[in-house]
Amino acid sequence: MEKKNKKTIVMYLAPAMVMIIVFLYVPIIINFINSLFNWGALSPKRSFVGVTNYTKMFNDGVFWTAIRNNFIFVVLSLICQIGVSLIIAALLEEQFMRRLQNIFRTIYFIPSLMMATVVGIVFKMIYSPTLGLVNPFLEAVGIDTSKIDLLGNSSSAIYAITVMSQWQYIGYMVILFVVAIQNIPEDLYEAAAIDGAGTVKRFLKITLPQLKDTIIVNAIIILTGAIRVFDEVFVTTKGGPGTSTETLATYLYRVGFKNDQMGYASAVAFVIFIITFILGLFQMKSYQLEEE
Amino acid sequence: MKKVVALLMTCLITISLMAGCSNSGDKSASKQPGGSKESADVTDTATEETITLKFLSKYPEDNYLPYFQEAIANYMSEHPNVIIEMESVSDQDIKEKLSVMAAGDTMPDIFFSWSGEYVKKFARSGLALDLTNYLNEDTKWKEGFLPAFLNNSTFDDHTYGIPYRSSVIFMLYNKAIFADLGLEIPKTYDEFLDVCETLKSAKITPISFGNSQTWYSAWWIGQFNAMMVDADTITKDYNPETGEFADKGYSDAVQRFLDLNSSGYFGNNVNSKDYYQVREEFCAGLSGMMLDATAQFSVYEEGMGDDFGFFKFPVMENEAGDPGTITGGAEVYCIASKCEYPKEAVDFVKYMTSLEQAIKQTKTVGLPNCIIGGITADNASANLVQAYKMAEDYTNIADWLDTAVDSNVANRYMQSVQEGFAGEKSVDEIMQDIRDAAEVVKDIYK
Repeated sequence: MEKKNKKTIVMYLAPAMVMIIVFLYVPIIINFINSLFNWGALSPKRSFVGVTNYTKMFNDGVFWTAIRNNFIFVVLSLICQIGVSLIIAALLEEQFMRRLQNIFRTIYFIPSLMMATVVGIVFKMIYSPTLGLVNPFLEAVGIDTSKIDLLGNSSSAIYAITVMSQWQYIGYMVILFVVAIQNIPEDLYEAAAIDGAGTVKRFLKITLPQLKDTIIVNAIIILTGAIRVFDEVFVTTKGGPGTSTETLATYLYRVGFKNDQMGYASAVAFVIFIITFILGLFQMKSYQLEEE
Repeated sequence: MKKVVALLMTCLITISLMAGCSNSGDKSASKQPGGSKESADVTDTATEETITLKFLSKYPEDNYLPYFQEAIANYMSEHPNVIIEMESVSDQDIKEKLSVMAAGDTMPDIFFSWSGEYVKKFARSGLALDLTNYLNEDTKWKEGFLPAFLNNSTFDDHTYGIPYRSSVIFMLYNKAIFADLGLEIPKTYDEFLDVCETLKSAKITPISFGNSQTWYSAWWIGQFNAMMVDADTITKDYNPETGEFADKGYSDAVQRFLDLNSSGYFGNNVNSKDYYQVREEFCAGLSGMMLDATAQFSVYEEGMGDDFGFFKFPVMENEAGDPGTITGGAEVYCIASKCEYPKEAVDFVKYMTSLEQAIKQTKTVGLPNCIIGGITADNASANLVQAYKMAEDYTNIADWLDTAVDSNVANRYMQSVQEGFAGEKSVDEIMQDIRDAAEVVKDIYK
């Protein structure tokens, strides 16, 4: 009977398994094979080059610029979307904010409903030194803006894009944290209050430890998202000025679809896969933590 | 029995899921019921069979799109068995779109391309159909094109693109500003710099220029290269198999370009302004001059009225390049080599590039055509007629740099120059980047 059940389970799982194998694992293998060749969509030749595309990639300055930019995205996203969001969520859950909580939650959440393209175009305008809002504001507070061109200077462009992305997604994380905080038993806070714990102490000793699993899961989601970041960069700077805001995803797009080096692009794609795969393993591990 | 039914159900679900996800439209030229590929007599368009041709076009903008839609509707009413499915993609996105389609082997039956190296890429990769025989079969059609534009899509005596829109660049200027400051139209580059200095002194941005969309800088670099580098050297270096970019003229060209910015002639923050923004600024009278192409003349005529004027890009004296060269080129229609109905596709292209249609194209949407006698006072503005009259004196038309060289070199040029504008790369570093890109390209074509 048990054997029969197993067969039935296998048969019901088969369609999904076949789909996953055909549309996920087979393309990954094909992509890896493609990365061992020099080829292009518009090139008549296809030659085997072994791991040359990988060695070329690790010696390519733009690849490391992309890694650095992804790292900046990861760090700033973690600080803002975990740190800042958590503080905002905790404040919204405080007694004195309860009455206005719905209004603030809505205000914070709205940007995350907007398309990245729309946000990109809006921020491009906001950052514009000639048409925008940032430079006049800085001038109003007495800062010389003659050298400030947030998206036009290589040194500031990636930070300007990252800030834009944080503006969009902080609200989403705030909602997740608010929901998690609401699940913390109220009597813990009451007991702490009786023992004389203040707001900060309650936050550090109760809220933070109770949200540990949520923080880990959200951090992994933010991390994988930051590794794959594409839209924000593509809409605002397309990787420029020069290559200063290139991320792994935009670089993959550039070498593949602009420069027609599909073999090299496949190698970049495989590296992105490896990075996200490792992060995925951590994610699975964190889910197990949650279950425990 | 139950096991067999379960197995069959499983197989059925799997197959149906896969069928649902597969690309049923992989054949770009699809047939409606009533005919097979073998029975489709391509010379007889009056057959009962309904043929669908996919057409990738540019110009999704509201001011251009109706012209193409109307032309297609008229063609389909004359050819009831042909359905043209058009997809229009903007200028900025169409390069990527074509690359994605080429990579996915889903090239549309008829597709847009720029002339020069861009068409050559499709020809080399076997994606574009050789149209030479179709042109030779209809000499009236072939001889109707302005030779310079048809030649730009012809390689080793084989033609792969049919030109439908031509464009050459001019320096545009604001007549009112020039009159107020008593400025003369500059003929040489030194005179041009004097004009820039006068405008700057008058607190007017001399030249509208924005480089957040880097293709616009490619126009400038291409023009400087054409004027400062010997024509044979350019031919060798623009060829992906032999490009070296070692000539000093290339460095000087980039230097001249960067100098215009460092002298303040482009205004401030060029890397965060795009072409469309600076075009609006020029139309609003905030700058004295702007580099643009004849295809956009209608925009300026509408925006500036009588204040809009233009002159040939000033000649650079004592330089190795050809002073009679001007940057420009054609937009062409290519036909996919895998198109199942090439004769019908050619027939449609022939319709779109007929004298009658070309005149209509220029008259209704201001896009200059490529047909001899296609731009006259009857269908074009006085400015456009004058511009094409002036262009007759030019000895050579140099393709836009971003479509004249391999995309690796073009993108490297545009990226590095952008860094040059930001003050982060010297001319030598920029040129080294370009030489490195040329080496990569040579390896690819080895």
